[in-house]
Amino acid sequence: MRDEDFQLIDDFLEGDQAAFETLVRKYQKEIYYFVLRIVGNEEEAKDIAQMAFVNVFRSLKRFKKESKFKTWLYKIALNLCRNHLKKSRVTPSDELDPNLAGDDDPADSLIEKEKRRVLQRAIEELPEKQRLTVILRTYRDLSYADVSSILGCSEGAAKANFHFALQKLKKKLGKLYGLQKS
Amino acid sequence: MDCKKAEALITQMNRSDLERGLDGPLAGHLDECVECRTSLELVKLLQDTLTEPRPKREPDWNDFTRQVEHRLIADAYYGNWRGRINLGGMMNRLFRPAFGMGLATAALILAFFVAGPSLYRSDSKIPTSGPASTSVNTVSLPATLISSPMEDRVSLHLDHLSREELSYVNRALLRRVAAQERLDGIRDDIPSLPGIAHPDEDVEEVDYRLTNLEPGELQRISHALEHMIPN
Repeated sequence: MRDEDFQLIDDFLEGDQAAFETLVRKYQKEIYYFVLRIVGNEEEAKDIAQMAFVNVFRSLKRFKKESKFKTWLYKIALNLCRNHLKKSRVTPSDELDPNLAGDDDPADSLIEKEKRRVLQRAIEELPEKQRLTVILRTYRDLSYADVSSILGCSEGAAKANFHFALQKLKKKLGKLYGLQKS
Repeated sequence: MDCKKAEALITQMNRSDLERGLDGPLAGHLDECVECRTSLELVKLLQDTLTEPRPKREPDWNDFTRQVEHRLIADAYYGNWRGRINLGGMMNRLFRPAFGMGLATAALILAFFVAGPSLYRSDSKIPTSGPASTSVNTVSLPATLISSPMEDRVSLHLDHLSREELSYVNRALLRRVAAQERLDGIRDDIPSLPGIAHPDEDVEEVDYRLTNLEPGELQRISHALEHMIPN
């Protein structure tokens, strides 16, 4: 069966303007939340997510369909996030919104909230590629093939990044979470 | 099963695999290996923690789509010359008193030598406003489109856009302007514009419409654009 996104791209290139709007509507929420997860600021996330679609629009003619449209879109959004973070010289954890750690559930105890906050911060402190691999892999549930395509590395490197990230997190969080108790 | 294989399986698991639970050799290995059990617990923990962020205010998704459209229009207009001219930087410099005075003096001298002779001709007028001139690749609109006091008119080069992009932007632009400005004549005609299968006709049609607008309507369009571009 023909990929639905590729069909929309072809339709747009053949003159169906609504097809591009359909692509925006299909992915806007997903991309916004992904960017928000990376930059940690709602207004900036909105701005970057919208720019990602503008960049897609500019480059759509050059898209060779060698990867999924979705991973290409993520790649564009991620590059914009990286540029933004570089320019603002702010690490995401500096302005981490507590809501990103999902700690506004009233049923959670203070200890649970604190644990989540520590885990969130530990993730933010990982080296960039490891942190992004963890986010793409666990938060977005993407396959290693997709992760490697977005990050521009081999599938093996994506797996290794995830492995090393786990080792580091285990070391940092083992005691707090009681992970290493049998 | 050894730890290497076990971890490879654990790190391959996605959300639904984890929810389904474990069986077979991996489950057996985990019963005996604390290290691998820890890895599995950590992966589960990450999936529980890295859930969808909860922004303080959920964006209005219809508005989000509209803003993308606005940006595309703004990009079509600014995009071509933004890279070459840093208008913001120029204006900042202009507001420095010494630089501003110097520039103003130079501009006056230059204007005298360039425009001076034509002022003596009885049949010439300095263009200040009026209907826009258009061509297939350039649309010229009054300077109220941008906040530059330096130029009377601004030429909007659309060469860098593909035909499809140009057509998309033009239509989006006209539709939005017509809706905002209640230019009923244009709005009614937009659905009947030729299809994108004929981009030349489409572009010509848009140009034709721009040239046939009254100066007042053009002013309203340029105000609408001015309002849209900051978005």
